[in-house]
Amino acid sequence: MLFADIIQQWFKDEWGGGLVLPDGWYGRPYDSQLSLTSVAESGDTLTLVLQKKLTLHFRGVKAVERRNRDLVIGPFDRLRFEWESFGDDGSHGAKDYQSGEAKIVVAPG
Amino acid sequence: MDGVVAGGVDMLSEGVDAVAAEGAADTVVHFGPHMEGPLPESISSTFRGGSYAQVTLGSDTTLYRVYGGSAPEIGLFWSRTAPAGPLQSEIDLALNPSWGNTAQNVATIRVPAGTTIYDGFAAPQGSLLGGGSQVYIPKVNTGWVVPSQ
Repeated sequence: MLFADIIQQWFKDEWGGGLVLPDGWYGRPYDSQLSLTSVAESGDTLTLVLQKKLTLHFRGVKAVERRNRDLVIGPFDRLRFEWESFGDDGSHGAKDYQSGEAKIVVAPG
Repeated sequence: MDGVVAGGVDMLSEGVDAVAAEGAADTVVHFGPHMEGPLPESISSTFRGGSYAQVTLGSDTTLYRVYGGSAPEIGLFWSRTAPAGPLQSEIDLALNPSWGNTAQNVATIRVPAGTTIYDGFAAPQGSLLGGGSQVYIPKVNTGWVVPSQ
């Protein structure tokens, strides 16, 4: 099964979740219910777009798995994370990671 | 229903209350240090004193959320109180600046009767006092959004 298929199935089964990057939560912990806008897989690249505003470009992903109810992507060789503000201020940015894993975490309750 | 306060949360009493906030009665169960509830510490600790009420809404209820930056329009933390500006929201809801919520935008949802929410007051975060109405909903239906006018 392709990593992209696992990711799509996870988002069908869950309502979405919050994003945890290798250096911690993006935004307030347990405050997001990010949906999957798109996922594309080609060669050793995997690209996810969440809620139309957050893009994760992975290279060299070794595994994608469900851990408890969460979706875990990694380890990977490289991740470029690009974000746009969810508000109307137009701010945006990017951050690169050389190792680790990213998670989409289901809110408790 | 001794000690019932606006919004249907009574932090002083224990057990189950039926609170008629607007229309049909809410069913309210109180949790806190005296009685462990269904929420894990990661969420319960965001309520003042670790105290919150599990409320099954008896009637449709309007909630508000400030968002922007890294905080999406649809999230899991809401408030019964309409925001009075970004700075006031940051203080009342104890929005830790590290969370990246600019609080520049406001979303409104109408939560249908029968939905279970977790209701209380925001705990302090560092120098931010909190104390404002805070509602946690584990799953938010995007169909609840009230279009902005």
